[in-house]
Amino acid sequence: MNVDMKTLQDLTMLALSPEECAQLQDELEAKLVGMAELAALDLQDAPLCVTPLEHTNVLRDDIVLEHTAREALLQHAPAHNGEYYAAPAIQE
Amino acid sequence: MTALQLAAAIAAKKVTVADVTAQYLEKARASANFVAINESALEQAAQVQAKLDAGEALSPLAGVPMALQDNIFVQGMPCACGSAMLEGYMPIFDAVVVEKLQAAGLIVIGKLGMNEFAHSPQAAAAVTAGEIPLALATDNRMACAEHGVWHIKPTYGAVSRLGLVAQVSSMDAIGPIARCVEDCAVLLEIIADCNVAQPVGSNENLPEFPHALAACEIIACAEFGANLQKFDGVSLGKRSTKAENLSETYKFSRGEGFGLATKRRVLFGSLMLAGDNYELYYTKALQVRGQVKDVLTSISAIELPVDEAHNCLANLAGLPAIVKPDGQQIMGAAFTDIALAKGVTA
Repeated sequence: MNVDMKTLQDLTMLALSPEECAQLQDELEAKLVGMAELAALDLQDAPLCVTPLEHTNVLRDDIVLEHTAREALLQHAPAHNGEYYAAPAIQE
Repeated sequence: MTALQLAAAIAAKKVTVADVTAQYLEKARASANFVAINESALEQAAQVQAKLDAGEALSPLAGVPMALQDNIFVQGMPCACGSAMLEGYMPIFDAVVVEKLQAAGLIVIGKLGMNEFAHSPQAAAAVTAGEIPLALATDNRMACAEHGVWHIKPTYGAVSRLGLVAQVSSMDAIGPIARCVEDCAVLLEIIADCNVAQPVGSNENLPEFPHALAACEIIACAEFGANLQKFDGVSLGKRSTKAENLSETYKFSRGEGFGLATKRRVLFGSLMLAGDNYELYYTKALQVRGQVKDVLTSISAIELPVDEAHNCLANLAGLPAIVKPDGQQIMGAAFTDIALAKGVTA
């Protein structure tokens, strides 16, 4: 089974070196072969299980609390202007 | 000496919290298993000692030093998850488990290394070598079985994940590592958010689940890839200097920041969610998960080897598993974690 690595790199926003790309393509294609049995299962309308436990929302009191300071959040950004994250322009 | 024995010696004033903390800090500084040291540990030790001297009842492990896998937030200590992408990242709040440890009087002396966004052989190695009496790590069954130490992979949801760097959101679980199961059980009771001590029933036989491992890998990688989207070189993570536009910023930053094993998981997860593959693989993986969970709901306690084929069952169904030093694990019903651990020693 052929894996389109160009599309996959676009989807994951992940640049690969030519060597990585060749190696991972081989590995992913081998993995797909290994998944063939699961893909061939006839599970009809068996229910999906996205989480092992039933979630119950735990709500705190509806009161105003201190929010995380902008400076604290921006300290993790590779670049910022003191107010917003800074990124390369996407238009002139 | 076990962690409980150490705490008893502290309570009996045979040793001070500061002396014990200093002793383990020295070991941690000399160890390659540690990636960060808590420089405030001695100060915290003095605070805990003062509370104990004032007669305050903290916990059965008060004063005991411990360490955390490097994917758990401690304010003021770096948290890199073993990744170049997060090198130098400093959390701005404590994880809920860290708040609970502090309230219980345990002293976090440092962070233990890990494979990039994965397991922590270093946590298992540090406990085995006596470099630290206790550690917390996310599902570390393989490494703990290899090193011959106890570990509890708790029931999913029993321990808060707030302040844990998300990897596989529907499976992530923080659990204790120690050289005896009693230490693990007491530490789990301290960090758990709910009753994890419900009684267990009798042992039962486990049916075969031939597709469980494939289903687990698909779900885990899909969630892993989604969780790592936030590391993009713009709001979080290191930014590539080679990029000339926004798209390249994302791609090059992630390409340079992630290691090969992480890229493999991200790509596989995305492949499983793309186009027709969503129905062909991902949906079926969720259906298999449902079948596994339905069957395992009736299981009370069962002994299994620690390996990928069996580890995935507790992950898919969110069940607790107690890893023993002999390389076996006891998997049980949800929220029976402590009873399972006590049953192991009975």
